[in-house]
Amino acid sequence: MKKISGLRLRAGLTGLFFLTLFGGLAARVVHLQLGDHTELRLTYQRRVIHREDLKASRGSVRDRNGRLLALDESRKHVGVDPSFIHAHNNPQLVHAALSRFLHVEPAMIGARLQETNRRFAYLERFVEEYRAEELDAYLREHSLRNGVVLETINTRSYPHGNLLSHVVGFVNREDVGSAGVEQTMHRFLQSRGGIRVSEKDGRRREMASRRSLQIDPTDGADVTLTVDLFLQHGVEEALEKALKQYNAAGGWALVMDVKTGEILAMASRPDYDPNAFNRTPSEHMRNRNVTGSYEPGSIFKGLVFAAALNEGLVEPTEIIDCEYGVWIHRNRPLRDYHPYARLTAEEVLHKSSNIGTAKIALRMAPEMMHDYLRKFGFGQRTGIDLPGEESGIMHDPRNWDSLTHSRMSIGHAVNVTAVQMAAAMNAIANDGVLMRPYVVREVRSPSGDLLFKRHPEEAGPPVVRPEVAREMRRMLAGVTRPGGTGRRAAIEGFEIAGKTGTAQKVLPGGGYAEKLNVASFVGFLPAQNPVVTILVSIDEPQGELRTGGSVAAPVFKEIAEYAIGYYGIPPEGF
Amino acid sequence: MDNLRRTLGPLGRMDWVALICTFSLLGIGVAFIYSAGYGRESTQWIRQILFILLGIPVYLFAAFFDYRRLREWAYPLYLISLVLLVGLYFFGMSIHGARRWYNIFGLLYFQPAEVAKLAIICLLAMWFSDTLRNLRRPANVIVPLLLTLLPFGLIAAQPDVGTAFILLCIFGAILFSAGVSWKLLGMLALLGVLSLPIAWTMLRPYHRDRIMVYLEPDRDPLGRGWNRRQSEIAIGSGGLHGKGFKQGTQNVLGFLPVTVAPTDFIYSVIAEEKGFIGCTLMLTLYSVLFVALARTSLRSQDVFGRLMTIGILTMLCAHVTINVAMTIGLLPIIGLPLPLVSYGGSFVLSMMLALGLAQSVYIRRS
Repeated sequence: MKKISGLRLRAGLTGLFFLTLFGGLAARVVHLQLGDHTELRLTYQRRVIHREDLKASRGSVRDRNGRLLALDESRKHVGVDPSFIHAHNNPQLVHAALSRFLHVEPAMIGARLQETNRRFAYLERFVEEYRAEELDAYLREHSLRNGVVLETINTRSYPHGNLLSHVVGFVNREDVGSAGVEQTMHRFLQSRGGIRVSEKDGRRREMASRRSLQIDPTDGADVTLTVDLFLQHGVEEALEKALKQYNAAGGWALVMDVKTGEILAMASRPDYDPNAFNRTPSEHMRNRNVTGSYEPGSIFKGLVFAAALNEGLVEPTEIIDCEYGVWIHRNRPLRDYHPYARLTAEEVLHKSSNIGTAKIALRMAPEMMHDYLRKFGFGQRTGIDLPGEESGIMHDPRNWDSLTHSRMSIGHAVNVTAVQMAAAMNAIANDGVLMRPYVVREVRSPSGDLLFKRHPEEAGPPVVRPEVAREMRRMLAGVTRPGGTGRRAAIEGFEIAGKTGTAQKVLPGGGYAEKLNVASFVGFLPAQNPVVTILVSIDEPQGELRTGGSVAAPVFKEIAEYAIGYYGIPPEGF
Repeated sequence: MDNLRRTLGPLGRMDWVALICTFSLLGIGVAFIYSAGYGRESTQWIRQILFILLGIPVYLFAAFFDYRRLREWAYPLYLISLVLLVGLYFFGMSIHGARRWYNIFGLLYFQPAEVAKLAIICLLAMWFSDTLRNLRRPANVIVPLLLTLLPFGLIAAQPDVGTAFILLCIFGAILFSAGVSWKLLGMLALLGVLSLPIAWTMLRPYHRDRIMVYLEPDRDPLGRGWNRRQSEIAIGSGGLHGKGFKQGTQNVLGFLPVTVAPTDFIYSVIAEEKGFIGCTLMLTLYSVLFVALARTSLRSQDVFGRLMTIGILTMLCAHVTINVAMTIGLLPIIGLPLPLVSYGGSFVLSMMLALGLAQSVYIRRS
């Protein structure tokens, strides 16, 4: 019996042993499960928390007819995981497939794939969606997809390249509009990225059921311009042709809707491709219609004439003594290009006589002329919705020297921008009312709601009376008739009103250059019922004939013919 | 009450505490196998239920079967288990390089080591309960040791070091409970310690890696240390209350490998989802079951029954202890399932059979 109880003790001890073991275990369990595990929890969170930026598309830019000028395009960066491909894929076949679809050197792909200790290498960036899809399909079909990385990105694309580039502008690498409408309309165009906070599983896949925060991204709004791409194309072609013909350093041209001030076309040379903005000299990015102010020369005369006419200080038919080409005024000679003895006031305009114009201008007090020119918009920004607009330079009469009055009347001693000049001329076309020029017509949200609508805006009260404007139009039409300086702008069946200008360029150190000039023509048509105002300036044309009448007037004519055909402007007058 | 007992017959004399604990643990197991498979449309939990349903008649049969007749079955049972273990080399199915299972018509992966554990328990209980044997003679201890080492070697070579180790535990516990002298026990223990270096050389490289990882937990957290590290993160991030049923991210998100979550690492799943409270509840159920088994052993009407129950208790307790210890980082990972809770057909059946036999001892208590 004693032995049995001894054995029972043994059995009891065995049970006790295991229970003790179990107790020790429980102690460790308590420690592990109730202790401070900040570090373990953080480890867990770091691995599980999934944060993702949700991308949206920037708004598009379109011309007035809805043709796309700028849009966000989905592209793919193609990369590889050389280490993985080496271990789990067929490097030779992957190399062959990639070489077939990518536009990079096969040797480069081979070299990247050889770097088997690396986990990632880009092969080609910004691959077009269609090409990436073909590559993807091919790789899947041949079971070679593993280890090839296709990363989707949004990139700004300008399908028309150089065309209208100065107006459209571009977006920099940080997605900020940095020129043109892309810059001025950035607030509307920009997209607002979203964010998603969620959890990911052991294979790093985001789990939709565990999203804790999602702010949806918002696409940017779409901007519609006043520009017409067809007309723009015509303008750029005509400008380009003249630049080649005269081997000119640059040029600019714009077309404005007479009644509204809408810019229908605007071109500047030298130009650039916004798709490659980073390889473009910044000089090429300048829109010289708004940033480059210059002495306008004779194209200015019409405005001075209009001011005098409005004040009743000149009669179109009165005779002006043109001094046989040289007039000593305040001890300095003022010369005409062609010497004339006497001209009617109207002929002064037709022949663009400097002496005649100065004499008419001098009938006004300096303050009066300056005041009219202010009202025509000179010396201040037009307020066009393009970045970097200059105000030009027009000094206050108090700071004029003895020659300023006479020289300013013929477009010197004053700096203007092309858009100022065109707007001022447009005021004559528009019965004396100066319209504020603009390029953005409206902005619509991605869902089509109208966010912004531009209405034509008068820049101020009429500068001249309507009948004065009408009289000016009649006289300016004479410029393009036989005997006028602008006869090369004439179009059969139409009356074209306009003014030529040949401005010698101011040298950096002062004084005028002998051979460098800007040849311009600004005008509108049809003369008595104007639809469009057109300005053309060719910078530094080379050759024997460098005047506005011979260089710029034909370009104006070509653009005007485009406009006539495109808008169906009916012939009149004859 | 007596009336009820009489009506129920032997059923009335069953150990209800052990019965309730057993089936509660089986239930917990099903629930967390379901949770561990959640999101993968795994049907393992349904299979587990089917095996439990199959196990109930086995459990009842074992309870009503007179355990004393097992004395006669001990040698045949032992031989059968040896044949099955050897047969593995010819007909066994290999999973992840381990040849441990018979594939029975694709319905059941049958693990003969389970039979071997029960056979060893019966054999040793029979051997040491023979009152005619003089346990002071070393030969009477060496023979059962050799009889144990034979299946031990076969199982360790599969390789399944964990299960093989369980056999040694069973041998040690029964030897001790049988009243072998302290001197002899000490000698055997010394022998065991001395054989450790030999055992080290016989371990597979991955076993050594696991032991090295155990000694140096941050040695290779992304490779060999992965399971252990993920298990610790699971348990540690569960905290007091856990993340909730089916909410265990370590498991559901696939950090804890799907192959081990419902089997060897089910404890991690429970700890993460039910926290300290859930685990304490489960470990309490085990403790109560162990105490009930210890009581059965003490109340056994004969030495055979006592030693057999001790063997069953040892087997269960070693399984639970080693499993929990390895998931919480106290022991190297040696891949032992959690009895009654882990997924596994033949394991559930053999555990229910063993606990049924313990019931048989209790029903026929003195």
